[in-house]
Amino acid sequence: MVRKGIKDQVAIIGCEMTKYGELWDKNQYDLLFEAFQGAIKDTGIKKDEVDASWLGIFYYFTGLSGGMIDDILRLDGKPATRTENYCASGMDAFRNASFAIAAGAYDVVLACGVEKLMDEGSSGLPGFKIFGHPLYPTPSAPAMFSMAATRSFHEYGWTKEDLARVAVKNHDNGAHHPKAHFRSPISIEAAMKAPMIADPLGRFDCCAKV
Amino acid sequence: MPIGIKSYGAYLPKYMLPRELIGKAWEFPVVPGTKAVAMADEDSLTMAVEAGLDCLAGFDPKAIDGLYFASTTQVYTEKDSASLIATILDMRENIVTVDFTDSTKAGTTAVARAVDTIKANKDIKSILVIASDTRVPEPSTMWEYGVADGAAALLIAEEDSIPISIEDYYSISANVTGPWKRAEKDKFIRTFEVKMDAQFYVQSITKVMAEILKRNNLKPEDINIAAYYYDNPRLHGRIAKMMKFGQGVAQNSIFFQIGNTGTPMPFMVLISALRRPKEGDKIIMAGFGDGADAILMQVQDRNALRDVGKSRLGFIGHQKSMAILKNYNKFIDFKELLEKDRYSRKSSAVTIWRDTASVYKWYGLKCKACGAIQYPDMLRSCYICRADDQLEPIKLSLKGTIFTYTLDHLVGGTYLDIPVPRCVVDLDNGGRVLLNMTEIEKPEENVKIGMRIELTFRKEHESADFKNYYWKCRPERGRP
Repeated sequence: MVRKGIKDQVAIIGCEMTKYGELWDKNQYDLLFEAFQGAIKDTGIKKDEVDASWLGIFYYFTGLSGGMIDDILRLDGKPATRTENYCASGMDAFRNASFAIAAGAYDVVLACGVEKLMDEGSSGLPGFKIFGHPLYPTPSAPAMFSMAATRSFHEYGWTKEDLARVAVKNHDNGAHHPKAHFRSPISIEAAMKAPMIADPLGRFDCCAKV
Repeated sequence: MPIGIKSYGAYLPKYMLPRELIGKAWEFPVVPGTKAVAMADEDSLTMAVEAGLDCLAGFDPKAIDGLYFASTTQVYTEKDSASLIATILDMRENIVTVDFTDSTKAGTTAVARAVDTIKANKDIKSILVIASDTRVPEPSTMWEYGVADGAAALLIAEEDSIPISIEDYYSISANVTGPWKRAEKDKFIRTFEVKMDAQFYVQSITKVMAEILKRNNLKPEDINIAAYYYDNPRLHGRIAKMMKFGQGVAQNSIFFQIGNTGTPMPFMVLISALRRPKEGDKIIMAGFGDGADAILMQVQDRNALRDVGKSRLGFIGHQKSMAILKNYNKFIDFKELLEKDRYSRKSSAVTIWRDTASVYKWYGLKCKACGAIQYPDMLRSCYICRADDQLEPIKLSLKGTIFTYTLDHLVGGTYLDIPVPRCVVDLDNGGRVLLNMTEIEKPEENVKIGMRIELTFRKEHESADFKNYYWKCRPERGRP
């Protein structure tokens, strides 16, 4: 079978993102609405021209179905799908939306993602209370990735300072981005001395909860 | 064919609470010594598993015909622990399992009943008897000085050559005024008057021991080891005098460091005395609690007994690997006597039941095509060669080496120290698994890639009011 791929068959015609932050005064509906309005404005099309939507959400308390799209954006009952694939949930919304265009099923589709972790109702990362096996260990997300860091340090001689350089670069980019959560550059020392989240990953090696 | 003790094992929790800390907490007269304290992830069942593993080292668990479990702190009042412990120890299905409970003499009673069972059934040749207790003393009472946690196991078997033979056993029943603990209402042990309790204790235990000596035409000086239940060293000494045991016969070495462990107490006193066995030594073991049991034994094969001792953590091995708890409040926290939010998770009795081989018996899968070993055991496709349905069950090792780890600060549950090490472990003889680590001090300094660990069966959480148990790893204590 010849694999064709979707190169040159799909284009992004407008996009928008909301500011990152704790945003206590906003809910997931506000965020999705604002992002959609911005994207529509960017394209110059009307919302009736959107044929279908894909929505990436991981956590159950943010939303459970694609139907949420219609509640918020009132797209007149057009097909809507939720994709849920851990931290790649949004990327998968985009990927599947692109496939729909390439397949010739639709002309204009919406790919979006939203998450509102602060609304779970408890502090810290959302727990693994309802999914997964009842007994196997449930490390936090930083803990899962940090196990790779520990082993890499051991195998390749990398150090905490190498990780710190990534955090310094990221914060430097953030300082230049109006929608970034944190807009101050940090030093290597600050990155290395930050409180540990899951050793060896510290506060500046992990995403802030937003 | 003689019936007797073929093997023994013990479990002492990692931590000892200095009695000085109890005295300081309540401004009590200070009493010397320490006592053994189980962690929040331990209960009578998990400690019984430890003692069972220690006892069965080198034996095939599938060759044993029964498991009797004795405890006053059963984890369920409807649902027996013996069958669950037997499952975790990977014993057969066609065995006899019984819980003995409600009295601190339940351990010695279970031994006597094990002998009865073996005598009465020609197809039952061996029964593993495990006693375990995590009795909770009421804070700010003198109970706190004595009541401690631990477990011990005796493998009772009928064999031509048995290290220790059981010659006779004898029981008395006595309805006494205390102590007691009401089934529904009491969190702690209660009593009217400790002096009266002491009197009943002395009466019952001396009577049962005197009676078994008389039945067997023995004099007190014929006894080489007397291992009887006690919760007070002073009373222990008084009984030794009343019984006219010779110097050093009545074993009293464990209370100072360990305390009174309840049902396993007589087993522990016995095990602690088996270091230098002599051929023909006569042993008396006695349990107490609303009456008393005495069991008369004799060392038949000192070399076999010494071999058992060498290959087990037993009492001494555990004692040597204990650590001091530095803070009284940690003890209060371990016993969940503080009102606070407890870790909750999904609970599913069905999932656990279906995954029994994997989560309790510790089985993984070996690929018939490429030999790779993987865990857990509900997978159908090999992770190395990708062959489908070529996987067969294989018992995994309870020891291993850390491949990688993290120290997770984002944890739920009660741990002595945070961060909690989450470890990817390469098991001896194959298989790579993810395990939380328990009982590790200063993990930042002490957890390393390549570190040796052993598995320990622990309580994970109690979501949906169901006891969720699973394996964790700990720094090696040396359990065989």
